Amino acid sequence: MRRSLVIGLAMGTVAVAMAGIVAEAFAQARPLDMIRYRQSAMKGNGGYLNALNAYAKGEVTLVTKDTIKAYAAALAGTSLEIPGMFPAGTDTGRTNAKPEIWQKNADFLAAAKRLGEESTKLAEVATGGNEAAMKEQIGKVAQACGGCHQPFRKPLPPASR
Amino acid sequence: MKDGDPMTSTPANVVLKCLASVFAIAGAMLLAAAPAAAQANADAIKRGEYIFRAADCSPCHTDTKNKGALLAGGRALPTPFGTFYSPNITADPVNGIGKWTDADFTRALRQGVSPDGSHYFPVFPYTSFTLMTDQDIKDLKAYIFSLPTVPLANKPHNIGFPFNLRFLQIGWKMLFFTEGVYKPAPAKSAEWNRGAYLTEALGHCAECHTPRNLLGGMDRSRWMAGSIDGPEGEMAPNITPHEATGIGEWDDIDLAYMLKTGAVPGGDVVGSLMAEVIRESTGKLTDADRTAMAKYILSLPAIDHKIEKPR
Ligand code: HEC
Ligand code: HEC
Ligand code: HEC
Repeated sequence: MRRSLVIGLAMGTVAVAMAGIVAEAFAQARPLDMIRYRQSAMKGNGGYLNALNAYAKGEVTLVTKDTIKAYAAALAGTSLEIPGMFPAGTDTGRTNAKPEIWQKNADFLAAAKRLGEESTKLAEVATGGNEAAMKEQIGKVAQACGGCHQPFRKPLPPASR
Repeated sequence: MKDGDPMTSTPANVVLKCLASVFAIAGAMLLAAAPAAAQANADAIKRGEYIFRAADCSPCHTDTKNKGALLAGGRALPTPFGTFYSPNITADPVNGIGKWTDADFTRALRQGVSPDGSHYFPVFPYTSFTLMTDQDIKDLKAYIFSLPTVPLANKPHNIGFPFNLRFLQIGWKMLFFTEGVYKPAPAKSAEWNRGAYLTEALGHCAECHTPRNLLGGMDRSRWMAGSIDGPEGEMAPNITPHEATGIGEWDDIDLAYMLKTGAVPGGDVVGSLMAEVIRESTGKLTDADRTAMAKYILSLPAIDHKIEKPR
């Protein structure tokens, strides 16, 4: 009875330790996957923003206020994910993330939040449908992107854009 | 003094009375002139603020990273020659430039020479500001002198021998500096000339976007063609209209929009030092001025110069 309890406890400890190792391995395995994921998500942001820019610049007239609302919602959505996309240990390799992301993390989170606020505002403005206001707010969204890239991302060579 | 007072008719008293009325008239004239002068100064400050934005003076002279006060200096500017610390340019009379005359200020921007006659290092882009008009320089000073003063002492630069020798700057200037106000090109439109002035004299875009030689001089044969090791060691892309290696696919709408928002045609948004330029400078200009800059830049010779850094 006592013996089995000891064995049970020991096995439990081993199991907990193993689970810890597995979790650790999961978090640390392939930082590259996380880097690729966030770069894809950012490319997605770029796609939505670029479609909005084409409208703001007057290059296309195709875009409706409903599309603008949908794009704005998508951007607001990814803004919530940004904090989780930069776990510790993903600061080296094929990434343009700057170490300041982890050194000044509160500022980084604030920059992500600002993107959420500006894109939510765009969705609101789009509901009203005022063309000048929508164009102005699209510029604000772009500035929120730049507001994070400025302190937290290394410059990209134009060829990779 | 009352009428009939025996003193009234003495010659001395007459002179005194005359003087008094002269002062009264002069005083009245001064009072009348004061609002006009104040108005002229307010106009100069207002124009100066726009010049200040267009010339992007604040980022270098403000230690934003450490929450430093506007124009109080102390921002670290790392270069291949060592780290420079920008000086305090608030109107503080002890630590800043509060005692400077208009002529002192003009000489600093036009010639890169300080009031005591020593030569500035070209991290201070006087090499571009030399192109500014006298009027713009005066207005700029009026604006800077209208801002709060900050009693923060300057930090010495941390640069190695022999680059720390200021007198060597005389030689540097002979090699790489041409002094003089921007001369409009008569064959070009007013808009083109305005764009050139904003880009070259005020915006000093070339200071970052032109590669430098070993002595830190700008390579005039590759004007705006990008630099792999720009300021703070960051690469600055080729912004000549070269199709493959520059921004040849952009039109003036794209470039003006990027100067307003930071968004580039591929969907990305610039960061690093350029985001700061947009936030503090080009983003605050008029649409007409941004368009003039865009048209000017896209009229530059296309230079094949690939800027790439392995990721
Ligand atoms: C809170 C910070 C933050 C915000 C907000 C942000 N980004 Fe990013 N972005 C980054 C970082 C950091 C990277 C570099 C990621 C890496 O290389 O690992 C990046 C990379 C990118 C890339 C390059 C992806 C690649 O191929 O490597 C694009 C494009 C991009 N962002 C677009 C946008 C757009 C458009 C927005 C706004 C709608 C935006 N970003 C908002 C931080 C941010
Ligand atoms: C790229 C960064 C940069 C920019 C932009 C810049 N400065 Fe400076 N400035 C400096 C540095 C660095 C020095 C110190 C140079 C030296 O010690 O030789 C300096 C020196 C000066 C001085 C001399 C101060 C003194 O105490 O002798 C004045 C005045 C000045 N700048 C004004 C301006 C104005 C006005 C603007 C905008 C039109 C401007 N600067 C833009 C970096 C900059
Ligand atoms: C303090 C240095 C600095 C100054 C001054 C500067 N730039 Fe830049 N610029 C950069 C850097 C660094 C980048 C790359 C930013 C990135 O990729 O995140 C850049 C990017 C750009 C781009 C994007 C090019 C591309 O292919 O993506 C354009 C266009 C540009 N700058 C134009 C200008 C103009 C016009 C001015 C003058 C008003 C100017 N720059 C002044 C440093 C500077």
